[in-house]
Amino acid sequence: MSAIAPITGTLKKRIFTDITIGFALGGAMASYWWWGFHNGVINKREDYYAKLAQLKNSEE
Amino acid sequence: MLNLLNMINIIYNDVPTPYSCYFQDSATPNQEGILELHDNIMFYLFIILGLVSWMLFNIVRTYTKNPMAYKYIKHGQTIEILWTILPAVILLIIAFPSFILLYLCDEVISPAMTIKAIGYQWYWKYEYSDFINDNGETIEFESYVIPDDLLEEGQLRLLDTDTSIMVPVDTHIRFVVTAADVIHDFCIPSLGIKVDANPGRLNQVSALIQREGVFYGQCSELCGINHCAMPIKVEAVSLPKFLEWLNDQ
Ligand SMILES: [Cu+2]
Repeated sequence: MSAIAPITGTLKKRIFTDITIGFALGGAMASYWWWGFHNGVINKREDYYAKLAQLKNSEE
Repeated sequence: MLNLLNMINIIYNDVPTPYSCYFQDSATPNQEGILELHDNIMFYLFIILGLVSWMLFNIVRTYTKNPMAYKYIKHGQTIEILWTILPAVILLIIAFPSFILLYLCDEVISPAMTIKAIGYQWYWKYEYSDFINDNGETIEFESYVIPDDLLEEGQLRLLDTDTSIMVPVDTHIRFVVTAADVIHDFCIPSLGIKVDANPGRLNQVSALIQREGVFYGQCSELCGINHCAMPIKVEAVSLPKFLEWLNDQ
């Protein structure tokens, strides 16, 4: 028997929490990008074109 | 101070603005597609950025406290497979929409009119080959940048030109692009157009402009000393106004 017990399992212990936190972090940034930023840009554009179509219809 | 004021100045044209990020407002379905693809890819990139930064941060943080974490790893079959397949899947997810968009933009379906854009050192020449004037000649004109000392109030430096491309909105327009001396590049960000102008070769792109406006672009292939001074100006107007303009030519 060795004087010090072999140190094992340090990777497995950490890897799951690390990957979960990593993806959560990335997921949060990506979600903000898509739902917080991208969708706003698209909605603004769609609103503009809807208004434009309405204007064109009323002129005819 | 004046420069600072210019930064917050609202410009109602579709132009590059000082210190702006992201895209200019889109005016064609093509550009909308490009924007969508870009935002899609950015979504995946943010996830990867989060994961990689967190792992890196953690490895650096625990390095001195936990030197044993990787001591017993000599080879890891599972992890090798995982870190090969996962990136490949991510690349596929990005590649498919990218190719669909690429081929969709390449398609030029039954254009209602064709405009030929020819790049010269250092100006553009436009030909409206579909129309002829009273003398039986096609409509063609050159478009030069407005020099700095002749700029009038409200005109944009190195973007405004003496003549501009007039196009009707809601019309399928085909641009046939070529050059007469060296390679130029015909580029209008708002319309999602960027196509090389090669001497002795014709390239085509289509545009369906959905709103009236003035759209600016610049030569996007380094073509010599005045590369910066051959901008592209497109004025999209309603069909009656376009016909009126056509009559004046
Ligand atoms: Cu050029």
